[in-house]
Amino acid sequence: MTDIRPPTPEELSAYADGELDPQRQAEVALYLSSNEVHDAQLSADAAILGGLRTMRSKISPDSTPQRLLDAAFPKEALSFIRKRAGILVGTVAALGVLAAMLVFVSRPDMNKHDEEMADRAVAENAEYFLGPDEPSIEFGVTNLESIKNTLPTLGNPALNARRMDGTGFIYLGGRTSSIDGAGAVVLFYRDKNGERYGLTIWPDPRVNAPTPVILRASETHYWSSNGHRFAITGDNSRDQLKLFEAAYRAQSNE
Amino acid sequence: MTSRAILAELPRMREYARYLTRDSSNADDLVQDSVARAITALNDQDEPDSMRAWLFSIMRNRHIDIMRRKAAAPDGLSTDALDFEHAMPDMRLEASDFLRDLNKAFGSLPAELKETMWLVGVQGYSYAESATVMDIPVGTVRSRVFRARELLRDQMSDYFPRVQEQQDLGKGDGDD
Repeated sequence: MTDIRPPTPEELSAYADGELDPQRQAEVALYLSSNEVHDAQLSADAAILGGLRTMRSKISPDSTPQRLLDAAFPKEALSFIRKRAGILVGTVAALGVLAAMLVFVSRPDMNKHDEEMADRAVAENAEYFLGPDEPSIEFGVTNLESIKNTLPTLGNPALNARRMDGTGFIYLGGRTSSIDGAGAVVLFYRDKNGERYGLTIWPDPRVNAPTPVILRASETHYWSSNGHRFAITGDNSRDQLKLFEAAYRAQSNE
Repeated sequence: MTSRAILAELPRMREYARYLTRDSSNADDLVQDSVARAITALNDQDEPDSMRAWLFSIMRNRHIDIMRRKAAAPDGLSTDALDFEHAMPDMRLEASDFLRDLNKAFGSLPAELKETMWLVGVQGYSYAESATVMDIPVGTVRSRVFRARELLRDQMSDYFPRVQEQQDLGKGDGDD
């Protein structure tokens, strides 16, 4: 084995959160790579964390009530603006012309900025972006074979769902998971604006509904087909999710 | 600049407020009140290093004040209400027995463990940020997260039968 001191249970918990000091974090990673004794616990913790995050009720910035926006921009500031409206209008107009010129001149940079934003979004979620056929330890599912047999997505690399070519959605990667003990896959995409979508597919014999079921549409869009249940999640609007669903259906010939 | 920074935090503040109050209307009242206090405070002090942690801390303290005041009122809440209840209300629970059981297990955690796990595990805040929000040492955050994980794992043990086996195996290795 190694000379590395085994992690204490509390250290293991902090390790999972990336909260050990860098040197110890690296030591524990090395220890775990050659020692399977904590695998089940780490898988269980990851499953629990994944479940808690799934249940998180994200709130879209678009839904912020006006009164909270007003609170963030108090009346003193507004009255200041009103008193100096004339000067401000002139200044804003001049700035507008300047901004338009800048936009024209720096268009390539703006595209680059979008790309950077998208890349950052991906980097922030790097833990999710395993290679498409790489087994995930989440939910303790390490054997992909049973999943491949029940789900077409990983079993058939040629399936358009993997890439969604021509639809504007870019396939980023996927991971395996399980829901109710059954294998599931979670695939990640982004659109041209860098918005991230997570598509979860799992077999569900109870599913018979031929039409989409929308629950909490700003966050999750469910539908079912061929004995599988599908769920799209992400910080996206209902329209965006439906667009994704339509693109997925079209590419999958559902 | 300050208003913009606060504006950027509003969605997360609303999430946290809903977690604290379990009521969307009261939650927005709490956010509004907290934002007003934050802006007033910023007239007299520099912008904090972590705007988010600072805002959350203001909101949390405000929530505790409100709860205490209600508890002190003649027809107010019992002091038990200070141990604010929060399960996670979500329709996605119907999709999975696992999530339903997890929600139940999470709801049964002691309040301080639950809140710490919510900040660190669910919201993804660092131990340092969470410590600022709850005004406790970072070491306490670390220990609470650890204890919360242990309790959750224990309550969800039916889903993870291999954990105990491997733990027993680990103890065996340690004895050698």
